Amino acid sequence: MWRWGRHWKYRENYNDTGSDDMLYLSEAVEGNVYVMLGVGGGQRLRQKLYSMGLNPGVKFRVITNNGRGPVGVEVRDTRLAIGRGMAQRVKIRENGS
Amino acid sequence: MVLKKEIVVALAGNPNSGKTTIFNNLTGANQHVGNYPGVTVEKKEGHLNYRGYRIKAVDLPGTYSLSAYSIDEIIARKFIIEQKPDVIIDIVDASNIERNLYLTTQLSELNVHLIIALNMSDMAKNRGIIINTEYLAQLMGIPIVPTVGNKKKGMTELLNAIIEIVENGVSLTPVQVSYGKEIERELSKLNDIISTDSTITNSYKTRWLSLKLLEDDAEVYKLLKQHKSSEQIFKEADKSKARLKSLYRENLSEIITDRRYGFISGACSEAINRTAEHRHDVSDKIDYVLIHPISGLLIFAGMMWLVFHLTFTLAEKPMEWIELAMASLANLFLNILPEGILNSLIVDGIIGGVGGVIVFLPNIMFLFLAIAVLEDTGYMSRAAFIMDRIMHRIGLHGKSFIPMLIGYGCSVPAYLGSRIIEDKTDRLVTMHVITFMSCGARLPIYVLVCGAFWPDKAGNVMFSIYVLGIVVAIVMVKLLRATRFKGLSAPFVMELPPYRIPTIRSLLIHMWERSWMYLRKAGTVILSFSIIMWFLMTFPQKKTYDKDYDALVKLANHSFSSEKITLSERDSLITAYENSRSAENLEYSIAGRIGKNIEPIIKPLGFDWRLGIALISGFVAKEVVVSTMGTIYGVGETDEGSEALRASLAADPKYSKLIAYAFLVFVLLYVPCMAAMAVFLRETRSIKETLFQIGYTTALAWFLAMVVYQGGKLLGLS
Repeated sequence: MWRWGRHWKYRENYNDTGSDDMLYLSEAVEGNVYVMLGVGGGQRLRQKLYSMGLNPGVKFRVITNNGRGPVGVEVRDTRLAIGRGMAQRVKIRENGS
Repeated sequence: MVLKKEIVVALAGNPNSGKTTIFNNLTGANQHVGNYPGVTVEKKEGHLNYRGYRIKAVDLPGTYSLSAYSIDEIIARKFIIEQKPDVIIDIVDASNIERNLYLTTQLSELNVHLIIALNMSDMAKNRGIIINTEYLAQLMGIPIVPTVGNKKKGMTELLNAIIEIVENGVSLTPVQVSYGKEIERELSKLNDIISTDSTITNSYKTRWLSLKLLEDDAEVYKLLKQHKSSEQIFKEADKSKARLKSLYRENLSEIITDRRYGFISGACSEAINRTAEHRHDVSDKIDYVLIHPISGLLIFAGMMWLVFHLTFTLAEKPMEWIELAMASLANLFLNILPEGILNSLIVDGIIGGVGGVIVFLPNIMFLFLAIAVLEDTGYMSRAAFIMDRIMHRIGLHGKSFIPMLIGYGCSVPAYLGSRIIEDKTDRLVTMHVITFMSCGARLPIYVLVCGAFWPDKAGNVMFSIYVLGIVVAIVMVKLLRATRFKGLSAPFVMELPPYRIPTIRSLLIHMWERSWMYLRKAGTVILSFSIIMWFLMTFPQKKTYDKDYDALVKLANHSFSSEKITLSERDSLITAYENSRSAENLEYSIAGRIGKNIEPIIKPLGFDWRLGIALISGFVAKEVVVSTMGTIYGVGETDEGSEALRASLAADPKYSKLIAYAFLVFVLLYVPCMAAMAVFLRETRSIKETLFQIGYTTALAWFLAMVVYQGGKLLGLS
């Protein structure tokens, strides 16, 4: 049950932004370009992603996401693999929307 | 002779920025690997002489930033602040410049002399990134030297730049990122308070401290706490943070990050010209195949097959040579020294021990060569990507798979190979279960016992043991994660670096460093363990035997000379006497007594004292169990193929198939050998974790073997 509790917290964050076109990185479609919004949850993950070039406002392309395993993204001329659990906390939006 | 002035140069930079290549270029073979005090983070240092200076180069851990969220970052930062290197070379990957400059903006905030080595500028050019280095240097306030690490270009220029700074001081001052009116106002308020305490300003840069206070940096809080004005500073910092919080909806560190990237984007858009927005290059195409759920997994399986065979099959011959060399050395001493304790100490204790250390060297060298290839080409992170899907479910890291696979060969290189897992907790959990990947030295025991009790289906029984090992490993990871290592897992975020062709030189340096470290660090522990074990298995010496073997041998010789028995009959008689004499000796030794005394403990498993002694000797090395059993059953030193030993095991009324299976389970799970434990200790640098490993594996072995035996009895099996 604790898992659900955690999940709810992110859903609250989701509502916080008040943006309808927001989605989570885990839901991204392979090949599409997105804009980074932010990270829900731990400061550690946030700092890590930002220092690796995935900071709010940056555009990136999803190179792999098949519903299981890590998500692969391409950002600032480099590629990152982000564990699924982490990807469920990364908030993004479609580019151009 | 004039004493040369020493210059300390630290190399900082992102992982995969080519930092280590530049370090290798600068120092060549003059380097050594150690550890930073108290942690398992490698510290590489090297020396070179240049223009009358002795330059000491330190390769800092590769980091993306200088926050306090990972041990690598804390170490890199501590080194810079506390050791105050004369110059810091910041290696920036030109083909990925924006992300790399993020670290630069943070280095600029420390009070240091910086030089940027703009590395892989050739690759950037190929990607259509044209950098105006002089202009960028002006914008950043840091001298820039273009380099191509793998072609050794720009090294002299880099060294000249270092000397220039040391001799003439800096011509540029690093530009400080401006964090906006509000944050800057709070920063200057904090600066004012910190400046009043000269004990702080003497060692640290004020602005950096203020910024870190706003960022809630735990390490900086810890560091300031020792100063008398800390209370006042913390109070002011809290006020500042509260004021800023009311202004911004976002997290404060988010804004700070944003400003840094903003500054970088500004500088880059002025000094960099991109001819192509984005090109799907070769790496793209390779990645499509390598991280594909199906083809990627197949290629991964093939790669692992190669690594395993490189480590164990290729190493077979050199290992044989080492064994041969050690045997002839032992023979030499056997011949020149009189029989006795000294002889036994040198031959069995010391030569045996040294042999036990270097016999692993081929394995370790080949494994690290393989790992170096995987890492330097960029494949390692793809392998972790592929395996993370499966390993994550178990509770391990994607990279855990490689040391675990190596564990099937030998735990010693497997523990050393666990270094590829960056996160300490992930690494420890992996190391705690590697032993259940049944190592190659346990195989002879399985072959012997299965051959004796299940001559028709030995293979199936053995297979079930291997499967049990995997099941136990998975259950133990879950248990460890739920108890001792709860919720400490690092976020799985990993760079997938572009594919590169490694240089032979860097591969060899990599292989050599690790192997040397093994010899130097683990070797001494293994050697001393092996002398202790020799002592335990030799002393006290039996003075009077149950039978007068000398007289019996004389009698046999006499019977032969009076032609009552044939030559072969005499020889087999003498061997039998020698065998039972060594059995008596072993029984009488400390190890033998321990074996006898633990009989009550192992009785619930169906084992007798003879199996007890055999299991104790397995701490030396698992394959020793077989030869100890040979000694103790009076068939002499033997191997797993020995028909005599199989027959005497199978015929022994005390044993049954059930006991044999319980024994197999125990052998699979109980404490790894002393060489493995020595390496475990060196790698974890924790006596606590090593004792835990020894204790829990043995307790688990006892418990499961007991369940097998008692459960089997209840079910009426035998």
